[in-house]
Amino acid sequence: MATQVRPTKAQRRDEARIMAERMRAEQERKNKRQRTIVIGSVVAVLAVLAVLVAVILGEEGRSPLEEVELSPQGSTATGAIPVGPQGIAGTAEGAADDAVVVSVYSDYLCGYCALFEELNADTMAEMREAGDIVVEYHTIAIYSDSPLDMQLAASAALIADRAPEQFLDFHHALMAYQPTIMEQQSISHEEIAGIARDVGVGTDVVTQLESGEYVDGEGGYAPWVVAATDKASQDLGRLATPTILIDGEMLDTQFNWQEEGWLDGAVEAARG
Amino acid sequence: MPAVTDLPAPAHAPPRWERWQPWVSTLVRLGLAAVALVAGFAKIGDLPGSVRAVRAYELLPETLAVLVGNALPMVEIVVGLLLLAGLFTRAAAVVFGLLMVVFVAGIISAWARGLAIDCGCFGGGGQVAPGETAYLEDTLRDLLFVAGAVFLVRWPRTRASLDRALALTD
Repeated sequence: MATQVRPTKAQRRDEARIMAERMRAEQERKNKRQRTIVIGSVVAVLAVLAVLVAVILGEEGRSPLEEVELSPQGSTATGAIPVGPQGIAGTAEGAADDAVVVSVYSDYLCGYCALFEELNADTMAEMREAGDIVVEYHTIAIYSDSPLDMQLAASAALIADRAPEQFLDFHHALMAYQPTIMEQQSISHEEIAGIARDVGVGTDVVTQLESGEYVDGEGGYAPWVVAATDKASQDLGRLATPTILIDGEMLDTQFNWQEEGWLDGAVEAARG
Repeated sequence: MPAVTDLPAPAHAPPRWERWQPWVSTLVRLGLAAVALVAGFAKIGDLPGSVRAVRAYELLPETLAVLVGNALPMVEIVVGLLLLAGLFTRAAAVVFGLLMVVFVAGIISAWARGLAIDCGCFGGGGQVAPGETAYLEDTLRDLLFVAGAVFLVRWPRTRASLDRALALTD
């Protein structure tokens, strides 16, 4: 029983087979690596392209307030509709020099905004007519995926632009109509036109409301609403409604505007 | 001299985990895919809303906030598609996990500063805005997703995946 000194034919064949297998495995690993790199690069390029397209499309959607073609007359650089002692939208004429600017950011689908209007409309009107305050209404549409929200804000913009004397009454009436809107989850052009007619808006403007041509296209205020809402988001950071600014200073969210006399207090404080 | 040939491995059943792991990982992979895709598609139709949401965290300067707001939905969709197809599963899980970690950090930061993130209404008098009470839920939920992503990074082999079909992994 001598120890084998030389590998037998069988053993050499086995060795060769194992070497071949090892080389195949090595080749397969290299192939796999190459496949991964190629496919990975393709996926990476596609992903980057997709994200770039999204970013570019997103940017295109924005247009700053200054570039909007149709804005309500007298609207401010912050996207607001100012109302002074005369009660006419777009002008603060007649207000005292040291009149405090009360900015009200509201949304027609926001329950608390409707409540705010209900509780404070009279007080604000009093102080406004006395020339003590100027109210800047930011009637924005924060629910950007809601055509209903846009429709409502655009109608307010139309009234501010073409029937400024009825703006306050229209704004108030639209807020008061909110429960119906929420129940229906919609509002027809006829309904809005009816509300406008009831507060004394002229036939021209009522007709425009009925036609529905106040949102998009020519004569539409959607671009302004979008720009004003974007501006509001930039100015406020957190965009929630109602947000009240007194001379540009945001009232604390803990502030209770449901309490009587809050506005007097706040205005007094601002006057210093 | 010892023989060169390998001995065949002794036959025995693989341990339990090895048998179940691919299935568990597949479930995790598909679950995270659904989360990413739903989130991405929900946001991609409303890019201005997405930008506003990022802005509300008050963490990034304006230009970055806009960039991130516009890019985020598409990133979520891409990651979601990769996870759905099981392509580059581990890498996709890493990206997904990082996204979730960033979200959690953002939520906690906003929470700590008392910001109200959702476009919500303020009732005045300290009434809780609808968004506020969701902070804890959102944080816990996102942490759960992070856990899922970590799991998938550790055990990325799944069933019915392109990784497997293209032989990119074992």
